[in-house]
Amino acid sequence: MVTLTHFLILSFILFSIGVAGVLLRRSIIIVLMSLELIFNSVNISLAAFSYYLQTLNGTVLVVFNITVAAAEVAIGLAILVNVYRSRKSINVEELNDMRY
Amino acid sequence: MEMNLIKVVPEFIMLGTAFLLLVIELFIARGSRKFFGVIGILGAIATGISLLYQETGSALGGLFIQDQVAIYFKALFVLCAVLVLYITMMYEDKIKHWKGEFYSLILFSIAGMMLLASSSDFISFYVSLEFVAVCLYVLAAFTSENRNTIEAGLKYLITGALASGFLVYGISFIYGSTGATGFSAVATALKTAPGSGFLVLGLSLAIIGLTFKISSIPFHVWSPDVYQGAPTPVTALLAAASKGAGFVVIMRILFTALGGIKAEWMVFVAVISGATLIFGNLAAMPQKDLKRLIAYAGIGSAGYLLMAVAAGSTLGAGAIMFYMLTYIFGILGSFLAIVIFHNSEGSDLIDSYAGLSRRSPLLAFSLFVGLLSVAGFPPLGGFIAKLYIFAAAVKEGLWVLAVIGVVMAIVSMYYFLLVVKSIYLRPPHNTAPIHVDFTSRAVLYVVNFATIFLGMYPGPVTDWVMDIAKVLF
Repeated sequence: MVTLTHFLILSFILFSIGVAGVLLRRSIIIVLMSLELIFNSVNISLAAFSYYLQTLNGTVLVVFNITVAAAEVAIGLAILVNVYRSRKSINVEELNDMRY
Repeated sequence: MEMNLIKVVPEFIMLGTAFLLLVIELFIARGSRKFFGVIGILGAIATGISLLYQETGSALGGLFIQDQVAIYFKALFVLCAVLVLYITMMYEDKIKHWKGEFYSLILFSIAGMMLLASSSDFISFYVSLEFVAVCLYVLAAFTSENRNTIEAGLKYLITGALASGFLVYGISFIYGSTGATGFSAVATALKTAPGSGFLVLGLSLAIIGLTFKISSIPFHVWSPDVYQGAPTPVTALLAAASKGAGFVVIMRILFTALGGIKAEWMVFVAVISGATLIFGNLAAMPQKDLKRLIAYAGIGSAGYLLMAVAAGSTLGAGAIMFYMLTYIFGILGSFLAIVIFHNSEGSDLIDSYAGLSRRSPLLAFSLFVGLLSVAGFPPLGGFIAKLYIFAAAVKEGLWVLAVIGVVMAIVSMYYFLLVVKSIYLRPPHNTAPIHVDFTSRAVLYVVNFATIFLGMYPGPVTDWVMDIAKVLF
C-alpha cells in the first residue's frame, strides 16, 4: 500500500539530492539540472497532497511550477552560454572575479 | 467566481506600456532609446493616476485582493518605476544592445511586483513572484559583454531558483496541513485546527525562501556580487522595489494567513533578523566599492525590517511601510548620483569620490542626504522610520533585538560617514567640475526634499500608514 508518507519521503529524498547538487557540484549544467530536480520533487509532494486532500489547488500549482522551472532553466542556459563566451569554462569556481 | 477586471486596471496599464515599448522597438532603427524612458514614465504616471480611483475589493476569483496596503505598495512601486526609468535614461549609453527591451523589462518587473502586492493566494503569489524574478534574472545579466555582469546574473539566478525551490516546498507543506491555498482560507483553517509539525516545517521553509527577495540571512550571499556587477539601474530596482515587494508578501503571509500561529514564527524571524543585522552591518565596514557597500547596508536594512515583522503588530506593519518609503527616496537618490558620477568618472570606488563636494556640490549633497537617511541619521526620514521599528520591537518585548538594532545603527553611521568624509573632507584627485543637467538637478532636488521633509514632518504620513496597516490583521 502506497500512502502519502511514501510520496513525501520520496519527495524529500529528491529535494535533498537536488540541494546537495546545487551546493556541491562544480559544473553549471549539473547545477541547473539539480535545480530542475528540486522543482520536480516539490511537484511530487504537491500532487500527493492534492490527491490526499481531494482538492485541485495543489495540482494547479504543479502546472504553474513546471512552467516556472522551464522559464528559469531557459534563462539559466542563456546566461550559461554567455559565461562560456566570456571565460571559456562553465565551472562555478571560475566565477570569483568580484570580492573585496 | 467573479473576475472584476476593473481592479486590475493599474497592472494592465503597466503591462500595456511594456508591450507598447516592445512593439515600437520592432519598427525603429538602432540608436538612442531615451524617449522609451519618457514613454515608460508617462505609463507609470498613468498607472499612478488609475491607482487613485481604485476601490478595495477582490478580483480574479479571489486570487487578487485590492486593499489599502496593496494600493500603498503599488504607489511605491510606481514611484520606483519613475525613478529607475530616469536612472536608466542616464545610464543608457553603457547598454550596447537591446536598449528598448531593457526599458520594457523594467516595466514588466514592476507590473509583477504590483501583482505580488495584491496576491491573496499562494498560487497567485508564487506565480507573481516568479514573474518578477525571471525579469530580474534577465536584467541582472543584461550587459553581457561585461564579465562581472554575467557573473552577477548567474549567481542571482542560481540562488534565486534555489530559494524558489525552498519557498514552493514550504508552500506545499502549508497547503498539505491546512488544505487551502488562499491566505484567508489558511487563516480560517488554522482557527479550527491548530498548527501541526508539517505546518511549522512549511512555514520555516517558506520564510527561508522569501529571505532571498529581501536579501537577508540565509539567502543574502548573492546581494553584494549582484549589486556590484549588475547594471546600476538594475541594482537600484533590486535595492528599492524588489525589497519592498518581498516585504509586502511577507507581511501578507505571516500577518494575514499565519497570524494565528504567531508564537511559532516570531522567534524564528527574530533570530534571522538579529543575525542579518549583525552580519550586514559588520561586513559593510571594510568595503571599497560604493555599490557593494550599499548592498551590505541593504542586508542590514532587511534586518531592521524583519525586526518590525517579528514584532507582528500594526505598529510594526506601519513602520515597514514608512521605512520602505524613506528607503526608496534615500537609495534611489543615491543611485541617481552614483550613475551621474560614474558617467563622468567611470568608477564606483569610494576612493574616487574624494573631494566630490568641490566638484559638484549637488551630487555630494544628494549622496550625503540619501546615505545618511538610510543609516538613520536625524533629522532625515530614515531616522523616524527606524525609531518606529524600535518602538514596535520594544512594545512586543523584543528588547535584545532592539539593543542589537541600536548598536548596529551606530555601526552603520560609521561606514556611511566614511563615505561622507571621503566626499567632503578629502582633497579631490581631479578638480574638473562634474556637469549635472537640468532635469537631473530637478529630480535630485525633489528626492532630497522628500527625504528631509519625511524626517522633519512625518506626522501625516505615519498616521496614515498606521491606519491602513490595520487591514493586514
